[in-house]
Amino acid sequence: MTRIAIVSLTISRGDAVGNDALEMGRVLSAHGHNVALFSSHWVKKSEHSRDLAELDDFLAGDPEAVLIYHHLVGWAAGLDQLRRAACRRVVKYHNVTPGRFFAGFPGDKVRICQLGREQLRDLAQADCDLYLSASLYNQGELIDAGAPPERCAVVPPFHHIDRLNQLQADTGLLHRLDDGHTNLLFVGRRAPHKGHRFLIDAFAVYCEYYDRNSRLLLVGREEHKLQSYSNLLREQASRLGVLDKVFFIDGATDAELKAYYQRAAVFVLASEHEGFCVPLVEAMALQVPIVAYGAAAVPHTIGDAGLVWDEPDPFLLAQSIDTVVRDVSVRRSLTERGRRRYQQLFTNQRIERDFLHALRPLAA
Amino acid sequence: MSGTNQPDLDLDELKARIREQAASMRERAAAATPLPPDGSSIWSFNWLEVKSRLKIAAGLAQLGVMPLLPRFHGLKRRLALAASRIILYLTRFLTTRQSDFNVCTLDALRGMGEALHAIETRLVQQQEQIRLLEATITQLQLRVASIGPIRRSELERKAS
Repeated sequence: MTRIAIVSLTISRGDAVGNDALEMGRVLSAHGHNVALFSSHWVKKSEHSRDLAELDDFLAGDPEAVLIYHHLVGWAAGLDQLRRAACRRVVKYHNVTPGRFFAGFPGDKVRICQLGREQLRDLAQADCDLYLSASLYNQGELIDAGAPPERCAVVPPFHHIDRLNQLQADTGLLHRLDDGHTNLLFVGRRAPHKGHRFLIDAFAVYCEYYDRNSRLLLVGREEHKLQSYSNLLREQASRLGVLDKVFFIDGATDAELKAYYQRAAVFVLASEHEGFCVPLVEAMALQVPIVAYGAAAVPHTIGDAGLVWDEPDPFLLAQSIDTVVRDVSVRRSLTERGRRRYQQLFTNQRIERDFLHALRPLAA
Repeated sequence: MSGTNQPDLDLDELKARIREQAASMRERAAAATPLPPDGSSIWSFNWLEVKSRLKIAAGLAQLGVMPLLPRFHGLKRRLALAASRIILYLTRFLTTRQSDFNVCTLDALRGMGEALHAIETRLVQQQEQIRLLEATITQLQLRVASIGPIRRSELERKAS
């Protein structure tokens, strides 16, 4: 039995990194290890969750212990703990959004993100025992920053799709969405790098020239201190005459999220930066065809299971949506490819196998 | 591949076709005068977003909840939490009444929202019925117009 500490700035069931950290903990505990999760920002604590200040006590100077550090933003205290740890060290890199996306918005996101990208170099050169990345794209960034390629492995993040599959979709919402409108769906927090402006542009074209009886559902939490970003999006939608057809949905429950997926004709993504993008895997698992702008790790995650474009051109995205909505054979083929890709690469069982395989030399 | 025996999709070929169609649509759009926003549709209540905002407000309605204070660690965090606890205790006489007010207001807003949504749904259904009736009347008028004058006078005589 190995003592394993999982460390992340924030841990919350409901965001991709939180789900990954929590599920890692569950898998390692199930394999008989002594696991504890450490964070300085718990949204909801469980029996295994502890404050970062307790990390040294837990590791107790045991050189055989393993520390798994999740890197997602700049976090001086976390990096300091990783450097000081006299045990075996693993970095899980989820990618850090470049700070430039947050320039001009209130808050200290620019600084935190820039710090996170600077710390990537420090982490890559910290001589850790293993570097896990959520995608090939992230692994490329780690290697470019100086991580030894022979110690790198790609392990996609664990997710909550099994839970989504088991629960009953919100029936009231299913009924309301089933009103003859074409539902275009995007799931992701409301932050500038998520490319909402491209989605609204594409939707305005789709609405004007293809299908006026449609709506754009933007499901995702509004980022702290980024209300002005939401206001800009509303202004844009209003200017394009589609404000009453664009729905900003914050705080959807799992049952509601499942209903949105089940009633979506297409999952549309125009993010300018993604390290993996769990909602794409959710769309594949729940058999929603995907149309996307292929920035950063997006093409790696989608593979051949969607229509991916090198530019977020509104006419290209609108035409793609129309083709998927109207052409049943294209729709069937894409959802089938998505289902197959999910089964082959992204089920939690598959991710568990990859994760344990990568970790085997450290925690047998 | 899909169990429906359909031939596998050639993504490159499909994307080339979509690119062509998109280019042609862009040309048509550039040539056409942009349509004004649809003013004929009835006023639409953005209930999904209202529901979502009410949910956020419900989460914030209860005052007197301990803050998370993620920026503080160790002794500073313990001191900050203790200070927060004291402030929350001392301001209870204000926050309790404010929380009650928030919850009542939200309940009323939620009720109004649901009522409004029900009215909107009924309005849409009625407008649809009116559209169907108008279509039926138009069809009947066309049929009447297509009947010859002799046959029409016979029918009118019978009806009288």
